[in-house]
Order: sequence, then C-alpha cells, then structure tokens
Amino acid sequence: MVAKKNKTDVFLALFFVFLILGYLVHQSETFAGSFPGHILGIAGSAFIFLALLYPFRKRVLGKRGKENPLDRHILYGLLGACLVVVHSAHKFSSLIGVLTFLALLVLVLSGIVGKFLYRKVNRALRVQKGDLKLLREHFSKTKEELKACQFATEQGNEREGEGIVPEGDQDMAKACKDLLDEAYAIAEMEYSISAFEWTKKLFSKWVQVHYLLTFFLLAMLVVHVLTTFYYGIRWLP
Amino acid sequence: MASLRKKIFPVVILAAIAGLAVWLFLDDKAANPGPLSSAHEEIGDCEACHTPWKSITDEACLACHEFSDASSLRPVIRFHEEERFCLKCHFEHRGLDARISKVDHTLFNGNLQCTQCHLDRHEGLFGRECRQCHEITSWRIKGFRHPPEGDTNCSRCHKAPGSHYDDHFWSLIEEAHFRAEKGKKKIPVQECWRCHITHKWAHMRMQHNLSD
Repeated sequence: MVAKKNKTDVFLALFFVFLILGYLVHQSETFAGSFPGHILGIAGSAFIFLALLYPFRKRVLGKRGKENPLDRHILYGLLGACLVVVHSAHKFSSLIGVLTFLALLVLVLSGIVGKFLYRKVNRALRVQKGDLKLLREHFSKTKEELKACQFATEQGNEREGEGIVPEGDQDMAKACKDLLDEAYAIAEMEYSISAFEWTKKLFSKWVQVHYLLTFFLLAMLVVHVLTTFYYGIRWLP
Repeated sequence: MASLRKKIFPVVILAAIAGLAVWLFLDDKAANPGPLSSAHEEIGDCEACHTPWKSITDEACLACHEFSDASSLRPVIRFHEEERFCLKCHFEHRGLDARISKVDHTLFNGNLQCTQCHLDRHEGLFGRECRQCHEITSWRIKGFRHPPEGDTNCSRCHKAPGSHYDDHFWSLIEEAHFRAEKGKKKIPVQECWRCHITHKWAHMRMQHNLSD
C-alpha cells in the first residue's frame, strides 16, 4: 500500500517535471506528428482509458474499496498524462491541440485536489465522528454519576466552572468542572463536524466537475484523433 | 422541478461539449498547426493540399509545381524531375519566414552530381567523385587522418593563398628564412612543408627571430 502511494507521488512529481522542465529541453515542431511521437500519444491515451475503468467499476459494477482501488486510477491517469506531455513536445499551436492539452492539465489538477483534499476531509470526518461518539458516551455516563452538579447559566461563569455545587467539596467541584469542559469539547467537535460535512457536500460537486472535465477531455481527444486522420499522418505510407 | 433541473443540466452541458467538438472538427482553422510559409500563404483551402483521410499526396503538390521539363528547371533543382517524394524533404505550417526544405539525400539517384548543388571546397583537386570519400548522410569523412608530418605532398590537396604568389612577399620570406640557400634555385611555393607543419596550418616550423 505504501509502495503504491509512493508510486502515485512519483508519477505526480514526474508529471510536473515533464511539464515544466520539458518546456525547457523538449520543444519540437515535428515530434508530436512523428512515429515515436504518435506512439507516445497512443500509449498516453490508452492509460487515460485504463483510468476510466475505476469510475466504470464503481458506478456500473458497484465495486468499491479494495476491489476497485483508487490508487490504480490515479496511477494510470498520471502515467497517461506524463506520456501525453512528452507527446506534445510543448508545441501548442492548433486550437484543438491546445484545448486537448488544457483539458488534460485541468483534469490532472482536479484529480490532485481530489487526492489530497477530498480524501483528507473524508478521513478527518470519519475520525471526528468516532471521537464524538466516544465523547458523548463518556459524557452521558459521567453525567449520570454526577447528578449533584448544577451548572450556572449566567454568561461569563461557564468557562471558569463557577457556580458549581455542592460548595466546599473540592473533588466534586473538580469533577463537575471536567464534565463542563467535556460538554464544551462536544460542542466544538459538533461544530467542526458540521464544517467538514459542509466541505464534503461541496466536494460532492467536485466529483461532478471531475466527470465533466473527463468528458471534455475525451471529446477533445476524439476530435484531435479524427482531425489527425482527416488531414493525414505523415509517417504512414 | 428541482430534480428535473438537476437531470437536464448535465445533459445540456454534455450536449454543449459534444457540439463544441463537432464545431472544432468542422472548422478548418481549429486544426491548423501553424501559419503557412510565405510561398503558400495564399492557399486558403486546407483540402487543396490535404486529401481528406489520405494525407498530402504528391499529386496535390504537382497540381501547382511543374517538373516534367528538366530544361525549365534551375540546375540545383533538376533532380526533382527524377524523384517525387515531396513530403520527404518539404514541410509546412512553420511560420511565414520558415525554411520549408530539408533535403533527404538518400532519395537521390546515382546520376545526380553533388556539385550541382554543393560548392567544391577542394576546387577540383580531388576530382568529381565526391562519394568516393563522402557519404550522403554525413559530410564528415569517417576515420580521416591527416598525412604525417614527413609528408611533402601538401599541394596535392592544399592550394597556397594569393599572398604566396606575390613576388615581394615571397622575396621577404626567402631573404629572412632561406638566406643559406640564397643564390641557389628559387624555392617553389608548393613546398609548403618548409614553413608549415601538418596538424595546424597556422603553425609555423620557423621561429620569427627579428634580431637574426
């Protein structure tokens, strides 16, 4: 699992290396249309199509989790993007070529957003919900044990734990104060969870955007391939 | 109503993308990889050169370019009469001022003389059969070694510059360097080895000691 994660990070780094450093060392007018250029383009597109297996298996076949690992989707997507960057040889002249490349770039960037933010939000939400459940259980249990505690409702006293009865019993007063702090912790966690849930809801839109970008890339890819065949491939006899 | 809008919205977006794709395919300019050279910029129609689904054919080039009568061609391009693989040497869409020719010598037949296009740097000293030494893929001669220092046949390949045929220049050299041989036979200019060494032409055998 760790090795797979490292692999995706390596390909992510490679993508940016090809994108930025390639601009300095690999610019060619003719490479994209040459035989090796076309082979790279075809291989890149093949990997992008392989990446599509993930949403197909998830949405159509209903396979999730270990049966359908996201890492493989990221790996194929990044590998395809790297090959396409080399195929382009950083020649951006035709409108179709530019749109196809931009669609790929935006799609990769949206994938990065998904990989780093969406997954983190989901994990944080899961952890916090677990913590909240534990805290609530502990709070209910302690509250039952400390029935004698009565909390002041006047503003300004709560944080300090003032007004906690019975007076004079120091241990009891401390326990009541801890219970109050626990109640505050629960309230803060509930607020935090609601913020994470709002972010998650926002990210459900991100998935739609990712799908939309994928469709846009595929449409541009089809036009790119069709125009290449229509206007002629030089290296074919 | 809201759920209907939710269902229609993605369909509209997808239809818009598909429409854009169709428009891009139908619009000639969208696939244009760069401006044509000044010689071809007047051609407005892509299909004038690109036969749909068949690439650029030689026939499309020959519809405008005439090579059937060799006598009408400049000497350097007479080989066009023999071989017609236009796209092997000519490229387009590289800008108005771009060079659109890169000659592929492997396409030429044996009758073509190199000197029809190339200047003979050897000034005829080596004859006209350039391919005895030079290959068509590289001008450099593999494994060539300059003759050793003892070789005295410099003039077989090298020609002395004009200054060496100037009497005043030559008399100064004879006066300075060949005083011992003065009065004897005049030293011929072809005996390069008397002053020059072989690994670099500018390297002289004799030191200029002006006090001498």
